[in-house]
Amino acid sequence: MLLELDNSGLNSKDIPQYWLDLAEQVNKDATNFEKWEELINVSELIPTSNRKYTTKISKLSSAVHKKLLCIAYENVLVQFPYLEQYWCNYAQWLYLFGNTNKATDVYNRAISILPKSIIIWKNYLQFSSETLLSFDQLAPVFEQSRLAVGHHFYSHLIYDQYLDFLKLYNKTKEYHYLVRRVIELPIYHYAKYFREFFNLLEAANLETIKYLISKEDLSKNYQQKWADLIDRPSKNKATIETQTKQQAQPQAQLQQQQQSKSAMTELKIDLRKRYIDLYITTQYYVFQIWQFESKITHPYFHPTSELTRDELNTWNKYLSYLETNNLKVNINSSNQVANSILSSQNQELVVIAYERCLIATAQYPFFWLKFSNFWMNLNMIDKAIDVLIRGIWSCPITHVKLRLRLIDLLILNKDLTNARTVALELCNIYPNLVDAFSKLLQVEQLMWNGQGGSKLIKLVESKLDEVKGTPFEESFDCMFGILLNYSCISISALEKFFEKYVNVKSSKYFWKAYLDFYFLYNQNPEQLQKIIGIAREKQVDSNLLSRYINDIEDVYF
Amino acid sequence: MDIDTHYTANPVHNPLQNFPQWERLRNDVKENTKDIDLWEELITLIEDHVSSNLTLVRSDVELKNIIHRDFDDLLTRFPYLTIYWKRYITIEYTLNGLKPSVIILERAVTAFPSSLELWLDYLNIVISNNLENEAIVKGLFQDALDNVGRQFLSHPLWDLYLEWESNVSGDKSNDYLNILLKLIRLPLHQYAKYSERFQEVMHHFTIEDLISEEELLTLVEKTDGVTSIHDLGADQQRQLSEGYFSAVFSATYEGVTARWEYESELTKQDFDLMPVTDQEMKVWLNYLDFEEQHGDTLQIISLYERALVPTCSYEKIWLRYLKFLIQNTDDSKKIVKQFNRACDIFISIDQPSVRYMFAQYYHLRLKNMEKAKIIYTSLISMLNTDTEPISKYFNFLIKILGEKVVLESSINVVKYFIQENFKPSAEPLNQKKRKLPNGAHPVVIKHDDFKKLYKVLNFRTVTQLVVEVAKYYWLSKQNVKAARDILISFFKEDLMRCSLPYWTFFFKFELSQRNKKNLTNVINYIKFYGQLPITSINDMIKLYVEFMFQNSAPDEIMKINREIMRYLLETDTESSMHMKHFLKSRLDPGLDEEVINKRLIKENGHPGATAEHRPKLITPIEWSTSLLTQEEAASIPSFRNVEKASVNVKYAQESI
Repeated sequence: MLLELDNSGLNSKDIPQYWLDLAEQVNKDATNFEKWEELINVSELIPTSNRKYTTKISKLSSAVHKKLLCIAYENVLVQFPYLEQYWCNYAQWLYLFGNTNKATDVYNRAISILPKSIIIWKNYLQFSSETLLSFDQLAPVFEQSRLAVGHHFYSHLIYDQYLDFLKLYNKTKEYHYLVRRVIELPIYHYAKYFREFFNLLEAANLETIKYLISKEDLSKNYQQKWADLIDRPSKNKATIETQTKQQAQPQAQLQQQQQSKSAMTELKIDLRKRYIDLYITTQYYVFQIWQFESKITHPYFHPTSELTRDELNTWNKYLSYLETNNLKVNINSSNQVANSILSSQNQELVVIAYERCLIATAQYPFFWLKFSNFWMNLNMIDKAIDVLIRGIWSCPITHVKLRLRLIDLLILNKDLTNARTVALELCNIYPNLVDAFSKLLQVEQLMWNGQGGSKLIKLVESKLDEVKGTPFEESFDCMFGILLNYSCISISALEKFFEKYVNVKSSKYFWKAYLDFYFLYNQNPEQLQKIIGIAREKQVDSNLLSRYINDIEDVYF
Repeated sequence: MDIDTHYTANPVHNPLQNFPQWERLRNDVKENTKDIDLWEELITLIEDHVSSNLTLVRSDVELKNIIHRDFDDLLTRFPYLTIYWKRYITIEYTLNGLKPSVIILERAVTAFPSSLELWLDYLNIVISNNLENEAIVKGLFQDALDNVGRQFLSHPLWDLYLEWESNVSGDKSNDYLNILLKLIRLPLHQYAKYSERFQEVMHHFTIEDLISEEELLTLVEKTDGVTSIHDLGADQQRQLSEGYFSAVFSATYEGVTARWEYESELTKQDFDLMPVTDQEMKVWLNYLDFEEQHGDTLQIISLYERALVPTCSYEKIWLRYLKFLIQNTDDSKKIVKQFNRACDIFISIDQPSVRYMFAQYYHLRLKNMEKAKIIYTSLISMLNTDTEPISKYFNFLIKILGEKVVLESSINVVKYFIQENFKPSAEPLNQKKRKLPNGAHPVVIKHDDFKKLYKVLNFRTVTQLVVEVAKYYWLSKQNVKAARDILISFFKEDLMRCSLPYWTFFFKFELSQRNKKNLTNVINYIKFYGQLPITSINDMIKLYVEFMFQNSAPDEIMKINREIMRYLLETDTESSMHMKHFLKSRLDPGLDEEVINKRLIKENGHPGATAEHRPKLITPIEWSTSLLTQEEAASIPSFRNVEKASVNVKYAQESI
């Protein structure tokens, strides 16, 4: 049961009946998002007997109503944790009720589940700005948000707040540094930050120019020191002027002096030129990304509506684009397969795109597997496993590939115990799924370290007994063929195993495996002829099997 | 057949120059010979032209030839389209009169002998126009009845025959009686009508006329105190014959009733171009099962011929029919004729089982090896990407020529193919240059059968011979080492890189041997060098990964876990292209994945078009360092290719 009222300390007599009715309905069908929405909506209003008033509850509302609202939110977010705005609304309500600490907890929980959600971070920063009143308290939160979603295409939502915050506390140096950092990022409002940067450059004085160029760069690129930037003609100009002084008329000399620019101005002009190049570069990537971003129409999670194929294709192409864009090509390539290493700098761009994508496509295993493969390609198997675990939680249970892949990765990570646990869980969820059972056999084989031939046979026998007489009996007969591949099972053990079932099995899978056994694994024409005779007597109905028997007969008889 | 050859050869006169639509439609059907709507359009147009320009068409021999060609093309391709035969006959009658139209009708019943409708038309025209003498007409009736006389609804033909015989010989003639005697035993829809007619006329005949001598003898033997039919009085004879025919009527009635269960279910009895549904097929198969259990041979053949009208393009029914004929009849000429009908007209080449059966029939029954060889080699030639015919032919040759000749010649064929098509001067990619060893002689194919075989093989199919030889050593001789040696001796050849049968077999062979090391070697080779379909390589990789999980100890898995991860990435549909490392390596002649990475980068965002240079910031700020602890301004950015940011992409077709 999702809605647990028993431990809430509420008296059911205090709870409005229509709220209870709705709670009952979502209990019966927890996937019915419309009912959840309805429950949230009614929880946010002050209840009346005829439900005609639509006044929202407030800090002054009764404890019961506030409690009900919290219960509704807690439960909807357990069921649908990817509803970003719901987290924010919930935290906002708690803040409104005066529970700032609880609101902070909610934001922290939201961030732990959706670490790259720009909506949550934007709201969290707003909330933090209102609740944390010192620079030292707030600055780490802003930094945290920058590290989390700073590469988000719409990260202007946090950068604007961050810059306002720095301005508010007169943190000129940090302000300059942040703008300088932001202009390197291919984000939607890149131009706005470039404008700000050029304004800063234009307005730079001897103090603030230090935030825009380092001492080292000044020396290396301009052969100057800070003192040289004091308002006087630059060294080069001075030299030229000295030469001119000797040749020109005094009047012209004066004019020249007036026209010559200060070193600071020249520096600014040159820096501006250099940063124009950065503008071109950033703009180039924004334009490239925009062809994908512009096609994303549903960047949020919706539990009941499916994304269009176009939308899914756009995400897929977008992710592949970013991954490829950041491929680091080894210049000194050899004939060996080289690692496709993403530069750590740009890796974050890919990661955040994946995380954004997975908010909208949380119910699509394709993208979870793609993300897991992304980490696997970087040989980061732990991260690949984490992604799969998150995917398993988010996707409908019917998508077994996530679990099967998780088992593979756990095996590759030498975590056989957990691999076995997942395999057993999968077999419990889908007792009639051959792939699940087959994977369990692989794990068991590994756990027994190649010595468990007879145990494997017993395991298969018990499974065959379990499905005997059920509609799944035939599909599990393919286990006979699968067992042929296990070299830990001896030929004689396999022979006995087949003999045990020869009189009771009539499926093409069994007979194909049995023929394979004597045709390919334990060649015995006489025995084969006998088996063909029995198969024919049993009239095993399969065109493929008949053709296979014809092929065998072509070879032997 | 090129339907246009006739007149396009003479550019001066084009008989269709005044009929552009006709010409267009002819071209269209030539492109789409299976499009019955187009054919319908063409035939309707011809009919319109004939009716509106009769004088012109009649006088223009070339136009008439074109009409013939159009109809002939259609009806050669689809001989079971009765309605078009009829329309052809009508046109022919309009253009050339009666006799030529009867010739067409004659051709119609030859091409579609199980058409009751066409036989009726033919006989009616012959009889009503007195085109043939009585003996020939009778012969025609016999032919018609042999072909369609046992069809459940064949009563119009029998009625016509009875009427004709009655007119010619009278209804008290023995000829008339003999028709009835045959008819009352057939399970026809209108059996009752014939029973009644028989009862009306039987009193005009003696018991000897009505019952055959042998059966009469048996009846007499069963009667107490009688040794000859003449010992019986007239009443006793009448009673005897009535009793006898009562049993005949009962048997016929039962036969009709039993068949009605199936006949009433038959929804599709005519040929059309729509597929036969599973339900329709099931009804025919059930009916055939019944008839094979209860009917006589002629009745069974009749039903097969009927079934093979709507299902004529289904190999399953033909195989069954031919098997029945081989087991139950001795007329090899007729059987060969049926094989030819199936193979030449109805069964498409992608259903080769009938053709294999035909070859086996020549081989095992008729002992005509040359014919069998022709069938096999023509199949190899026609199915030029399929290896099954080679496998069948190889096994056939082993049986008739013996293993020594076949094994040696097969290998020689492959070596000769390599010698002729992969010259030593053409250096194989990334492999040692292949040279003939010093003193080695060029390979020659000595055996005539293999010389012929060589001519029909291509680079896709020739490698199957290596597979067959290895398979023979492995399965027939049970010599695993010899099989492996044969496979290994060829694996470095360029010819084998693109051979799916070779690698599939090699993989399966090592899988069956449970040989982990060799299986790994096979995979290692094909993942870099294999020029096989991506899905085939990936399928083998998937099986290999499963096999490794099934047969490795945990420590072994840990040693190759990075490689297995690459295999998982390679075979996942979810993986991005750049994660498919082996595919990328294969795409580059030098097996250098980095070359493909560069191409991916160039084409990124716009496949098919390349951007040689993209602007790149090469000194980005380390984003993970804290802003709050930053001591100094970030360094001045450096770039690559900024000046090329606005250069247009280059489209692939531009560089071709």
